[in-house]
Amino acid sequence: MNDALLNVKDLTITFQTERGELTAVDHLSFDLGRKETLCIVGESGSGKSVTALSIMGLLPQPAGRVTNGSIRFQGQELTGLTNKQMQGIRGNRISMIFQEPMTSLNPVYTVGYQISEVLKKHKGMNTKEAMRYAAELLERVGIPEPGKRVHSFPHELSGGLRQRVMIAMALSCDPDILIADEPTTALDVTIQAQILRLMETLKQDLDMSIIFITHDLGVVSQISDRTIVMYGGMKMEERYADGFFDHVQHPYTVDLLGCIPTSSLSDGKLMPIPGMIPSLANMPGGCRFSNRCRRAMSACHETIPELREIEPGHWIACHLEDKEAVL
Amino acid sequence: MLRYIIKRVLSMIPSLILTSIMVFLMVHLIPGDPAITMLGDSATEESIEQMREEMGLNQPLVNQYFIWMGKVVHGDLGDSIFQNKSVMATIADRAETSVLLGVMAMILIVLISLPIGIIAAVKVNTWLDQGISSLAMFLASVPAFWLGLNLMLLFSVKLGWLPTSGFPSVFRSGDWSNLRYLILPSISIALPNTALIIRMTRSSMLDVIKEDYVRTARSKGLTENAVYIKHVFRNSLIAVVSSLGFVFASLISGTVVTESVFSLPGVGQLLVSSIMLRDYPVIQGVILIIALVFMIINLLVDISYAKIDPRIRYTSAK
Repeated sequence: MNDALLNVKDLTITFQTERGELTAVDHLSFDLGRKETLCIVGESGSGKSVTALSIMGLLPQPAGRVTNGSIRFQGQELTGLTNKQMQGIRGNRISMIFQEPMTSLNPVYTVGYQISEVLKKHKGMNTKEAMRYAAELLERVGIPEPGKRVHSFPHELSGGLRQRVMIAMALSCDPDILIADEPTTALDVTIQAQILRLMETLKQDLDMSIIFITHDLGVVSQISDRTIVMYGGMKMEERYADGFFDHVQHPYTVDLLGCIPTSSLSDGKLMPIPGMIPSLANMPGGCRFSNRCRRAMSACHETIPELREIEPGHWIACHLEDKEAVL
Repeated sequence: MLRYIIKRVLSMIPSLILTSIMVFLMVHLIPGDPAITMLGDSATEESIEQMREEMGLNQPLVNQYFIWMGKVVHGDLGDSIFQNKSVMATIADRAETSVLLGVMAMILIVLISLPIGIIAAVKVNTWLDQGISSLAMFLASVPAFWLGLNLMLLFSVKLGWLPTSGFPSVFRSGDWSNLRYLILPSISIALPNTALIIRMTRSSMLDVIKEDYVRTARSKGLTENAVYIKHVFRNSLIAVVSSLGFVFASLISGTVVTESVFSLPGVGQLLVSSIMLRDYPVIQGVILIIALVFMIINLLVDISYAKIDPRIRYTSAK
């Protein structure tokens, strides 16, 4: 456990709102090994993006804060660090790319300038060196005519190219961890595939670990080494092994798979999960999923199920006996 | 960029023509006969008729407009009825005061408002932000004449540091220390306007802070100062610059009350006195020049937009 690059233990994140204090992430624990791709899957509002932001120390201020638990990066505790200390880690050891490439770049600066900012900050380069290196980075992420593109403004680039710029920026200091918060959601399918392949290649080249946040299970099947399914701020299922989709156990994950339009579905019908993800203020007692679960029992409404290992490297938090859980 | 500027300058022509027509009509639709005004009530029918003929008032309105415009284009705004000078010379005399006063007040506004506005946005919802908001509210509601009089009382009468009123020309005397006459007036017109710019800076920065690229900037590990100045402030400048432009134009085109309090020979006073006297050529001239000043400042504002935000250059060059 301790040789992991990142240990998150009992992480609890709350938001101060007008309706009181809401718990966005509740006692979440996971590890990220070296060169590992961890996928965190869940619907909007499941707490996956908030988890990512908390690792970066970028929770929306002053509302959001980590109230419990620890985030250890290479043995160093991140939760207690000052903003100034975090600045040395952000963009340097841990980088992040975001969902919306269209709005994640500053419209008034050239992409070269925006990449050079990172290099000047963490590598101590001067402007000239940084711009030259920025062009190299653009080339590395497969942008044609990098020498010309460093002087482009974001609005002159397509969404796919902008996401490549974001990746170049995130990778400029060879980080240990790249956090990607739904990086392909806003892109066309063909571009999505290119970006995924690019990330995979760069991961191999740079020996980094990736935390990939997505609600796209198709993506998960392509890239994941370890998969976590979140719902209502809690971990529902985790599998550290191949073949996640062949072994899903938790009713929520099973339902989630039923929502994917594939030709392999026997009756060709999509199976939406009844109801909506409840707001944080109205989370049911007991299992968070109990009010939407097709197989909920009385125990589900009363106590929160413990995570238990049902086979080596596979945990679920569900009261159902594992053999019953498969539909 | 050059294409953008040329396009923008050309687009001023229709508005200039429209303004000139309105200025021309405005004066000609006001009841009262300029010929009678000039000659006084005791003038005879014949002399009035002769005067009307000389002034071209008997010609059709359209002809009058083109005759007037023809002169205006050559820089001839006619002669003042009451002062023995051309309108151009009359305005030029007053312009120095107004321009210098406007520029000094503007420098003060920028130096005071931008830093305070930025601090208010960075420290949003703290006691500091609320203190700044109340101060801005107070400044906005203080009447300029009251502020002017009190400044005068304190700094000129009690302390004797600065002159009370008047303004000996800098250009004619070559003595730049005369600018001290404009210190108190510029403070008293600047302060009420700082409130607007402070609030504008604060609110547009708060809008920008929510943008995704600000989160990106933070994720790069930039210091908070770099995030606020380079990424937030730079993007909020558009809104700030446009209100600065508006304030500047209205300052240059005259601040009647402050000019009266400090007995300054400015454009605002000139306009008011010419309206009182029905000095039509001067009224026309001043309004036309003010309109031109507004247009030029708007042009500068638009050019600075394009400098600030490359997307504007791009879309307008297409």
